[in-house]
Amino acid sequence: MLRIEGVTKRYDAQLALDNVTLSIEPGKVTGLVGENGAGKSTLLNIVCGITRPDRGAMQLNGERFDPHSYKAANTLGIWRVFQEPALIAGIPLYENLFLGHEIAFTNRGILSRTRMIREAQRVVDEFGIHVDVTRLTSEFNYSIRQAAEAVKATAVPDVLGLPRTFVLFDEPTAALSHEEVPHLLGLVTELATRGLGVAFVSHRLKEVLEVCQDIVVLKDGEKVAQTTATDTDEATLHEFMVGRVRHADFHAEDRQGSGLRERIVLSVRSASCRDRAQYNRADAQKFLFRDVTFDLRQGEILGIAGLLGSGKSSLARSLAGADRMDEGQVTLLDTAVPRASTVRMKRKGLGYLSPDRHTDSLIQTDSVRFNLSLPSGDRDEYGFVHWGGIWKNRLERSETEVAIRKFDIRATDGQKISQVSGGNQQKVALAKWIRREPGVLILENPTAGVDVGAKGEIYGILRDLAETHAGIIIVSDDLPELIGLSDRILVMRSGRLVETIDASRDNKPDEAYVIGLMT
Amino acid sequence: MADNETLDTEPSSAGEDATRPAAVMLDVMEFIQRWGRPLVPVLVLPVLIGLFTAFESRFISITNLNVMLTQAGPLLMISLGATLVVLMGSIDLSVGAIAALSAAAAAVLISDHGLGTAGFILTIFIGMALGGVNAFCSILLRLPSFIVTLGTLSIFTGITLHILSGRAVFVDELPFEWLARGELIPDVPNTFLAAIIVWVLLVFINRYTRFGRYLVAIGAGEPVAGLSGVPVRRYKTMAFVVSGATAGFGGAILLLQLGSATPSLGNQYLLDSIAAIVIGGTALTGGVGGMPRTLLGVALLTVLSNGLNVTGVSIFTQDILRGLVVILAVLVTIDRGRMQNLVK
Repeated sequence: MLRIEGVTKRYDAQLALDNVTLSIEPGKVTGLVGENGAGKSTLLNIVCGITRPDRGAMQLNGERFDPHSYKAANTLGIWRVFQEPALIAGIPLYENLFLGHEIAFTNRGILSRTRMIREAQRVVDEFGIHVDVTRLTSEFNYSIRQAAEAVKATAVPDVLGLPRTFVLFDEPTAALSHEEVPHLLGLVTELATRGLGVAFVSHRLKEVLEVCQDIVVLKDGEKVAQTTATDTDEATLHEFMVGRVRHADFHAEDRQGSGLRERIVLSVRSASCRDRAQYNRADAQKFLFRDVTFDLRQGEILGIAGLLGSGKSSLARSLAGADRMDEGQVTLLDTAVPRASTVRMKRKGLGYLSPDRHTDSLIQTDSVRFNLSLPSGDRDEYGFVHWGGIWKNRLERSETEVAIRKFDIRATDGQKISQVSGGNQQKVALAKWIRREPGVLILENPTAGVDVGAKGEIYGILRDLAETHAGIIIVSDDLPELIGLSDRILVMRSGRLVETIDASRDNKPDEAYVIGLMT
Repeated sequence: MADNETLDTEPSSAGEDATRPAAVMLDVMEFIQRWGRPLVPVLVLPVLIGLFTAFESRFISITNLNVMLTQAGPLLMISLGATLVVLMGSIDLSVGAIAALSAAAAAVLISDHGLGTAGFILTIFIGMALGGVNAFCSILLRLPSFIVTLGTLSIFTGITLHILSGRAVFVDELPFEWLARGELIPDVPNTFLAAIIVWVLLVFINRYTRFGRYLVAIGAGEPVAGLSGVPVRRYKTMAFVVSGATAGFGGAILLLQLGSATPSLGNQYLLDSIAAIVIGGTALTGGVGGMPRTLLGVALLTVLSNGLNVTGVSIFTQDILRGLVVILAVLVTIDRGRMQNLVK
């Protein structure tokens, strides 16, 4: 039995795990569910030695368990199937399978590649993916790499003669196609019947209910429920996860549509983008998104739903000018933008917030005011520069004070961003765009890793913005949020727009209906 | 924490190390890293000065101070622009070579073509053009600046050898003689004064202008700057060009001081400029540091070289000690959590 007792982990101002206690039993599949940022991945990181807890302890079969690296966890029998395949692109697949354990194929210091290749080919074939293991990992597509990740955690320990007592699956189905999912779920069940302990992390509650016996719900780093699959259902789990049923007040639905105007602020016509990532060279015709056409009206909140890899994120980035678009016409605030760049889109009145606050939307090592003024370095009405590029430091301070008051940001203007909590960080990121009065604001997962209180405030801010002048596009994995906020929802699947759902105030679609269209 | 956080969590950052047993040493390291980063060079400087004075009282004589300032001028000038490049997370290894090439071109133009003052001013523009070459290769061709400037370092040195035909070119009638030999402020060589004036200018630019802020933003988070609509490539280009300009001007100062351009003019400045920047505490990962720290680094390096000379330490030993100081400086100033971002 793997027991986790009172584990706490803090990242700067954010509490990722708060005194979590649970156990994973052999012969069972234990489901870990929770929203983005609930702490599921952090928990797995701690169990498999990648991160160390600030407080708390773990026990493996009654003995103290404190791995200091993933490899140390491996030798004690803990293996993990990573969400994003943690494989090195530039080496052959067989080398990835045995990475870090080459010693098993070494005789007096000489590595036997033939034996490595033979064993790798055998386990891969047994798993049911028929690929040549000597080919470079980068040549395989995502689902094969995901499968290889599973092989690594499930079959490789046997080959190496290492114990294998617990296997942790981290969102293993997130990027798999419809047909591949049952195969993976079958594997999960089979491991448990062979007496292994399995932890299964997923957003998809249906899958969790299907394969798991025990289910633990995490929310904002805390364990909020522990139950068994027979005692619960999707709706109950969902309520535990978000701490509420989707309800109208939270998303200020009474204010929906009040700013809606006829004017079209963003129009996209047959936009397409080819996938240039190297691992897709084999099928070079693959598109990130293809033939996407839609209009965004002033005052409208337009939601875009889709699974990971559906193209929703690529579309958002391309519209923001961060990635190139191959074909299509984009008209922003009545001007055609033939060659979008982030600089040009910003100047024409578009703002974009990436889902990754840490690396993409805020400079963590600098102050609140530094971040707030970052996009506004032009000599226009929002800008902070005098003639000659001299920065208006005093204006920056006073504008930061204004934003802090307006958006109720709990931080001081000179405070380092990394010391500000997630919700307040996100408010700073929003403020840096909103003070520029953008005509279009594109947001990806705007409330990921944000506590419930700040979530409600952010929804209020977005409603205000829609009422004043802007059209807003929200790309989110958080369906209650997407349904609650949006006037319309576009559903993307495999790079195409497959459906437009009306989500007006009195006509909110059912979550299951949207999920059905996504998959 | 975001859900996609898997292996990219650095498993052994200093903070986590500190919780491990037998990590007292690392606890101390962590303390120094948190509080001592900007402070250490400030504390080391008086200690060094005190030590050298104790061994040899002539170390703080006016004559020797004058010698030190004369040495520090070109080094400071050459390191200033390079600091901007390091601040934005890139590196410029070619500054010494740019200084040499500019000086060589000016020497030939002045002595063979009678260009006089114009030849002297031209060094700045030559430097800017050479910086532009670095910018073109690293930004438009998207190559790592380390590789690009390693290459141009060699190319520029080769061109210098061609210009000088492999020998020293002497300049008899120097324009700006007053700049080379004069002292507007008693006992402060004008060459040093010129470097300080440029330093003040760059301190201002670094702290109070859009260019300076955006360089810090690019160094601390290039994706953030890009997604905020900052024209990243333009400001990167500008940094390389400014770096070339100060290196070119540094070359001119060297030409004035020495009265000749030699093929080996810039050799010493490749390592010394990087060392000065790093010792001062500007992080090679970008986004942290600035001009005041480089001035400090130049001061430390100059005091060290001169002090070792004055106290009669063998030249061979000097090199060893200098290397040790660089390593020690980085030991206390580097942010290990961001090591993987080293030199973009």
